[in-house]
Amino acid sequence: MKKYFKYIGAIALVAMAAMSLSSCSEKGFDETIFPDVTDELDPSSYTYKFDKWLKENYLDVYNLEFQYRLKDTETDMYYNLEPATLTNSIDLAVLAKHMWFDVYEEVTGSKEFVKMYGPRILMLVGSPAINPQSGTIVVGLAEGGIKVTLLNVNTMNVNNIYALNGDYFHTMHHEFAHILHQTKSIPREFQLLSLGHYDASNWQDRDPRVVNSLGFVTPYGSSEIREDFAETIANYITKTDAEWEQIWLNASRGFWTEGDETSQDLSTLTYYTYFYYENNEVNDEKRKGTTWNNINFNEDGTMTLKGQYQRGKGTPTKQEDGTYLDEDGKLCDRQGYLLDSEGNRIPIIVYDVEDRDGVDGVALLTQKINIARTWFREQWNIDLDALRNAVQTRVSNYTPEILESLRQQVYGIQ
Amino acid sequence: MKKLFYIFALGLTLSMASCAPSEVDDIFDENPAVRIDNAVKNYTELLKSNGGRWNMKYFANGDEGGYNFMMLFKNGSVEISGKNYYTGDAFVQDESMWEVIADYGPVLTFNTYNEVFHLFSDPVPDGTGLGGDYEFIVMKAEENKITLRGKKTGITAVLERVTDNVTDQEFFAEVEANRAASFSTLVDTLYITTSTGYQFAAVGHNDEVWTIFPAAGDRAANIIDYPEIMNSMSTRNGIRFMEPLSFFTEYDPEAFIPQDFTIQEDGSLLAEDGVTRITAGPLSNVFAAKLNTFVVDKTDMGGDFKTYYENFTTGARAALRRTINDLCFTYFNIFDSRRFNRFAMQFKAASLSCAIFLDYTIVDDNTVSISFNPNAATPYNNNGKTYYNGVEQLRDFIAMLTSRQLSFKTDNVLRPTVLTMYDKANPENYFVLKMTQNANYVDESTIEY
Repeated sequence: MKKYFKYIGAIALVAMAAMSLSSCSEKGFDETIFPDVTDELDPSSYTYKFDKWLKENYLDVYNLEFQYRLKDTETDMYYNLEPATLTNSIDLAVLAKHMWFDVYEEVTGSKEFVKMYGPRILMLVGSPAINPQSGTIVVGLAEGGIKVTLLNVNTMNVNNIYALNGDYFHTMHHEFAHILHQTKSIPREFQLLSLGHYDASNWQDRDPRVVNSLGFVTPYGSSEIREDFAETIANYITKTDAEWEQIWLNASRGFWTEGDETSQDLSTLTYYTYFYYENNEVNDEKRKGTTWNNINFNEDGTMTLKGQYQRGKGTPTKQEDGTYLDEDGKLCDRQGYLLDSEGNRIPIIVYDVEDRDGVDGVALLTQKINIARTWFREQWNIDLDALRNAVQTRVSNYTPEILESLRQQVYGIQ
Repeated sequence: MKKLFYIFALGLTLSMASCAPSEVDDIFDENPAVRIDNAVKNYTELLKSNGGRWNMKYFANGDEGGYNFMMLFKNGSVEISGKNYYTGDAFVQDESMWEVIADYGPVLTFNTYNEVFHLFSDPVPDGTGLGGDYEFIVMKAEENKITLRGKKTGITAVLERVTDNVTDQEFFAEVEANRAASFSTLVDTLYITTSTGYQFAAVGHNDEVWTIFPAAGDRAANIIDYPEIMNSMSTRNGIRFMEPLSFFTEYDPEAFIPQDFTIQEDGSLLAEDGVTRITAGPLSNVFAAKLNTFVVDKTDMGGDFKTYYENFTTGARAALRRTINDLCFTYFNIFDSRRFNRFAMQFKAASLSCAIFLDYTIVDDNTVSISFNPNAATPYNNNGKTYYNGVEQLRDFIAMLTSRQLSFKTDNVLRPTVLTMYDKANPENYFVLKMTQNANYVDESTIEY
């Protein structure tokens, strides 16, 4: 009997299932409830030319949506943001292609690399993202290898390619580096190089020269490993030779700090690469920092303070022979400045600050760039130096006429 | 078997329940995706229809007045014009893009930068800026009016269709004229009388950030204990508050809750209910306010007032060889001394400033009586004393004025600039008083003695 009920039960369940399904068959599951959406462009639209150019140059080629119309749901709602101007959006679209996408095509020989690994969305925001609490400003974001956001587009100055390169294309290289290392991880070797020197909380208050000396390319790079990696790559590509000369110089130096080093607010500190002793009295309490514009760089390689000389002790006393001596009997002039054996005032000697941070900044930066170079070559089959050269060539060749011709790609569409 | 029956019954119920969404769909005719898609299309067409010109009434935040924009919606672009403090009071127009998108329901977004509009949502320099919205949820759409709610602020904005031939510049000129007609620095307190007769007082209207409090009782205490802060903006027809004045019902449960007021011929602002009204309040209070000086118009006076005034000026010339000018009623010399901190009839005899100190009593909303006590400790200042004792006709003039009840009328009950002070018993006896700001007036609460 039990067996009988078991069969009846099974039949009942099957029947119920059939009833449930049949009861819904009117609607079915083969039709979408969503309305048909066409992706055809409307030639009468205000932005038809731009939209057509974006479709042909970004969407069709790189499968990339160039979002210049701001949707706040696409942004971090913590920030108050405003849209980008249409004219700046057009400029940035053509420049981004010229300075970034086309560079990768030139170096890799095809569009496939960026199409495969590049972002799917490039979003423009007119304003910077300012944290109302900390006041820190975000100028670019990358989210999970999908979307790169460029902010502060409304203040863009197309006449300054160096600023454009630093503000926007640097950001794109930086964010793209994140996308790449989220695909193939940062080499272990790199991750170990600066352990103990990162400062995730106060990086924004760190002096750019001091972080160079610690082996970071920028303060932001000193915040954490992943930012260090992205900043190393982005800055290696985008910074000019002259800018790198300054970085190498900073990296080779020591820095001496005036101010309370135990303070939580690092921005209150002043950093010096040169120092002197007051009146040449070698004593830690007499040590003072100074900057290059106060210094005479002498032919013999020594450095002296401009317009300052060593003074004698007390009031000078005139001797019978017309010379003056200080209270210690040292030769000085009428104003009390000590004189050397040739009768010249004795300058205040300036010294380089010793590099005591325990880090060989130049070696460390060189090592980081080498790791990145190898990583690009081995993991991505890309010559990082060729990439840098291509970018720098485009930067140095940039003229307003080039921008105008790029703009015509959009405005000239019929 | 019973068990089997229950299983079948349960199954039948479940199968019916599985069809429930279809029935909900039937209520709305279409599924949600189609409904919102239709809404997006319909609102897009609505905005562009009939010329596509709209006036947006917009508040960026609760700390300042609101702003008018004129918007011309076209296929993908919108021309927005404005004229306000942030444009340097200059007319500015810019073209940018707009879209109705499916977001939190249908959302109207101004999604590329417009220099007229987006300065209110610019976060520079502190991350917030003016804090305004540029994306709005469509709350209600009618043929000529669309009610929007800012996505971030939740503040209501309204689009009203403009169909007449007024240009944008003319529109803003109308708003400015209306604003000038609505408020005056000569009136520091306004009164809102609700639909049921309850009365609120309000200050701050000239800055468009009102502090509204019960008019009855201790003003100083009420303004601290019961302040309701509400900002407003001038419109083409009157004023609009950022939100309905819903706190009215906390004081008067039956009161109509107004938001928009239209300026009337008598100058008052009248709410949508046709009853709730904003005025400068009783003219007796206007006269009694220390804020203003009331200058007698020599060219427009009548009856006894004219006769006694002319006798006084003639008598002064005969007795003291001085010409009398600038007769006015004012709160006198508040800076000079506490003993002079008094209401006075003031006049100039050549360059001498003469003051006769008076007292007044409010008889009713439009009437006061004034009195003079020659035996008071300080009945006049030194110059006033010379003329009071030396000119008999001045004594007669004062005696005449203090013997009458003085009533007031004005051409504008919201922003009076002129009061006619007349003999309540005989309106042919009158002075026309021009209101000017009392240079001597200082809010007494700010004075440190």
